[in-house]
Amino acid sequence: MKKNLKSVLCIVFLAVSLFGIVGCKDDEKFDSSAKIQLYTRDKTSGTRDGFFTNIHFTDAVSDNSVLGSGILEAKNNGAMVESVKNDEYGIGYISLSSLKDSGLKGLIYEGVAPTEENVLNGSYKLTRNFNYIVRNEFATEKEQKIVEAFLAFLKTSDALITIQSKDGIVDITGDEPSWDSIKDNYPICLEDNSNITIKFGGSTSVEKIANELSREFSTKCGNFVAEHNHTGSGDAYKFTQGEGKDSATFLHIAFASREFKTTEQGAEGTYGKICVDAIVAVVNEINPLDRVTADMLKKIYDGTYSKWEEVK
Amino acid sequence: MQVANNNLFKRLKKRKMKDSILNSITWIVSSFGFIVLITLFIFIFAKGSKTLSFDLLFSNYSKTTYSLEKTHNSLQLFTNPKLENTYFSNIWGISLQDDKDAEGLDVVTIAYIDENSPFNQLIEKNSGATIKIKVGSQISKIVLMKEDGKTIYTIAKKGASEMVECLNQAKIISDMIITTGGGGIRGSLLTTIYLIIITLIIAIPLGVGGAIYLNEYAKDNKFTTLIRTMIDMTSGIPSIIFGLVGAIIFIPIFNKVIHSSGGSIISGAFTMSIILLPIIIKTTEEALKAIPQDYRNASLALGASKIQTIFKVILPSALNGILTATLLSIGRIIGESAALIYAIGTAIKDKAILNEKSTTLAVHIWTLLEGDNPNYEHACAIAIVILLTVLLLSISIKIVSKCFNKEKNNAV
Repeated sequence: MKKNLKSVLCIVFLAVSLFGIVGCKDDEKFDSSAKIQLYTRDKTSGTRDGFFTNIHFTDAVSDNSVLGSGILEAKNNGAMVESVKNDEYGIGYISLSSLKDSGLKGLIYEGVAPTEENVLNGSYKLTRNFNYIVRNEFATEKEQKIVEAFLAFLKTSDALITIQSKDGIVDITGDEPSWDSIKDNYPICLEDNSNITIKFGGSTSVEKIANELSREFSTKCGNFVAEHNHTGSGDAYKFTQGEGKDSATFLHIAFASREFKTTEQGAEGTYGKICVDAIVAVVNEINPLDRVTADMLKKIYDGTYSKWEEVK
Repeated sequence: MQVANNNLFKRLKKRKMKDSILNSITWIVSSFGFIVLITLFIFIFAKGSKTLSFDLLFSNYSKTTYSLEKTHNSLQLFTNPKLENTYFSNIWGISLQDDKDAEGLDVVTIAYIDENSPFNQLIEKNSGATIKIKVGSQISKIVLMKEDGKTIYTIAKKGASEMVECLNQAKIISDMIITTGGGGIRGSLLTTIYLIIITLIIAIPLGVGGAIYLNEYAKDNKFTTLIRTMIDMTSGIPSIIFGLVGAIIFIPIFNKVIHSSGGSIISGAFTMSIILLPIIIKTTEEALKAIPQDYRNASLALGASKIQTIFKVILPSALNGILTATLLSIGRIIGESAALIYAIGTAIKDKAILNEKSTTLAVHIWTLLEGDNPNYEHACAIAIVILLTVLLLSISIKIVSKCFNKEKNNAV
């Protein structure tokens, strides 16, 4: 009986390890006659907006039905990376900041490689702006003063360096004033503001940058409490100046990872750009495709090309 | 005779073969489950054990940020302690190291500070207070002013070696952002504990009361059968549907009553109570059923009323079952995630406030993995905490029921 147990256990172990070996021994050949698996972001995504607007396929920004068959939606950058990494025949698009450790191949767009330098010198065209919008009506004067100080802070070298440290692409010339040099214009920041809550929100893509900015600015402006609730670019205008501005989830300062639409025009001086982000079309590492153009991407995404061998 | 014997022998052999095949199938199937479970444990412990510490349990999730400055006057050069994988600045007397934070982002942490280093007396910009920075703090950016008045800066993304290079070029730090702590699960731990307490306060009386009604009062008619069927059915409903109930019914109610906005610990507790009711009712009822009818008869014969019998005789005897139900419920609360995503929310907080959004340990894992940079090590560390708690609970269930059984036997 015991012998039986041992031998069976041995067999099971062997079988499991064999399965493991077989599973790992993926043949790394790329079958170019395979069907292209399209991945896209969800319709509220600013990345999706930026991508389809740039490749002149604006119909696809908020409509899945114009896209090729069998398209799959990824909920965020991380999900997109995982999907394309696990699908040899997949194609998707992510923010440049997620490319570095992703293990994916970022495609050269219109002959220009996706790098920070190329974005800054304007040669890499697949980009979008990160924008901010703030309230124009405030419950208390203190809140208004802090938000005004924050807008001034955004223009300082302090904020620009911080934005850069969280993968926002900004051009730092060295001529920007530092916060120390202008803080005297904002006496509110010398007071103790620890009983004031400023609500941040909007795009999830800008969340990292917004978090870091609010954390830093809080220490520089009387330790006000920064509350973050990022739900998507579409909520940026809505909860600062739009229909939701007086609801329970209102925001003081919000961010959008796309341009504001014509229906989302804020009051003068309450919105602007904070930095640029690049979008990269990505494929699995073993995919031989290196270069794409806007036209190719459009044809891939609208279903004109359904197999990889047709992409040329 | 020979032929018959031969035949018998053949049949015996055949049967033996069949038996051994069946036997080995059993072994293969059971050992497969065993191996899968063991691999799971090994995986979680291997990934999470490095991050697991008391600091993780009791520290805040949000970081404390300082905005600091410092002018360095002395000409002293510091000696390198030569720690592994670190870069040393001999002007400022600190070692820096590349690391990853709880959100999976690249950070630069301070690995060593010389006792005479200017980093022991950094000045907080707003208040002017002197602050002593601890080893393990993270530097997110440094802006330095060189002797010729030019400013240079470096950020954590560029790595520790470049930061040290930058530091060695100047003696005035005009702006430095340092964050300490962060990534702890204290808030989620507190929320879980609060949720357990409030849920039990709501669910145990209701559940035990229901069980008493079903076992002691209810007549054996169609209505009772209907109730029993309903209870059986609710225990099989996926928890996400209860989450929906919480989101549609409890959240609006409590938004009005306790002025919460969206989910809150209270609405989470009410949602969990509904999930737990069938478990508590069933377990308690089993315990009530096991109490011999003689107890009831004896109590009634001595002149006690039915209510007295229930509270003084039946419930004490069923305490074992009620305790088991409680412990089972606690296990369920700790493990629940789908329903709570709606009912409590997914905001990771440091303080557990009853009418605000928060997150339990299980949902904390979900939140960590849902972001753009999933941090598996951190998630696995929390998973270990949950696994250990559940293990502890199941052991205590065994001990409790053993103790009670002993007491009962002694009493009899």
